[in-house]
Amino acid sequence: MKRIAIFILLAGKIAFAQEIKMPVDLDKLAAKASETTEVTLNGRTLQLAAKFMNDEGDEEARNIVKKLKGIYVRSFEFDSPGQYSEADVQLLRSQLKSPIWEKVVNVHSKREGENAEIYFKTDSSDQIAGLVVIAADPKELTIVHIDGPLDPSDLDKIGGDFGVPRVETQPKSKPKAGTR
Amino acid sequence: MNDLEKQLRSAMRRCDPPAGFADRVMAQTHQEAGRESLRKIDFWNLGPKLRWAAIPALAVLLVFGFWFRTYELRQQEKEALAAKQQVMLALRITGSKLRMAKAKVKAVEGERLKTENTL
Repeated sequence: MKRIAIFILLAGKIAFAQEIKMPVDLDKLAAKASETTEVTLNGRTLQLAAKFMNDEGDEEARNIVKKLKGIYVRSFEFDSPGQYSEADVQLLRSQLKSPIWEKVVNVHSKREGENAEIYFKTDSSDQIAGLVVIAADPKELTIVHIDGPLDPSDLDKIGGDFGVPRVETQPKSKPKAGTR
Repeated sequence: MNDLEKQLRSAMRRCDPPAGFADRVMAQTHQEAGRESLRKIDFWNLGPKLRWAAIPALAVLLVFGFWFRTYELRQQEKEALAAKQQVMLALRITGSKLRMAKAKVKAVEGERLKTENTL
């Protein structure tokens, strides 16, 4: 019994410690893309950046960033459609498995060819411990991985801080919208 | 020969030194030489020229240390500002994608409601 408990604890610990790895193939897409955005920020760099976020309006972003362990963005814009394949993101998608990762938004628009997937990583206390966004349209592919604790109000701020309307989220609710 | 001559002769007569006299003299000489070398490496007993030369050397060291620290801080600040820009960019991209997903969900929901109403 004791052994089983230890095994479960260890398995849980290993599973939660699992890190997302950006597929190497994604970097090859940069050669085809007309515009590439690559952001890789680890915990140390984020802490350093947070120390210098003292300008007016930086406060909200600073409060989010100082808790995080990493931000990774890969965004590719192409001149013509069909420059990337489903297999390019499949390797990433295969890492986002239940019970650690939960797909909370899955939108596939056949008409416009736009897809959006949002995954949340939840910790043992059911708090959001990470976020992955995969947004794809025929001429653009964007992958965002935010590693670290986020609360619904943080998502509001991220979604609405730098432009127009805020993403309306409610605490403790995870809207599951799977439409195809 | 008078008394004075006798006294002089007696005072200046040749005689051997006491036993161990040469050794004692040599030992004393070595001891003095040792003390002299110790005096040479003592900073406070440096010659005045050397002492004055040590002060600018120390000042240069201090200035270099201060410059290096300032340079380090500036580099750190540059790195932090670059990181800050990257953070803001990453948050902007994330925000736009979250808004896009939200808009899609709303559109789908709207369409579904419309379909339900027409039925």
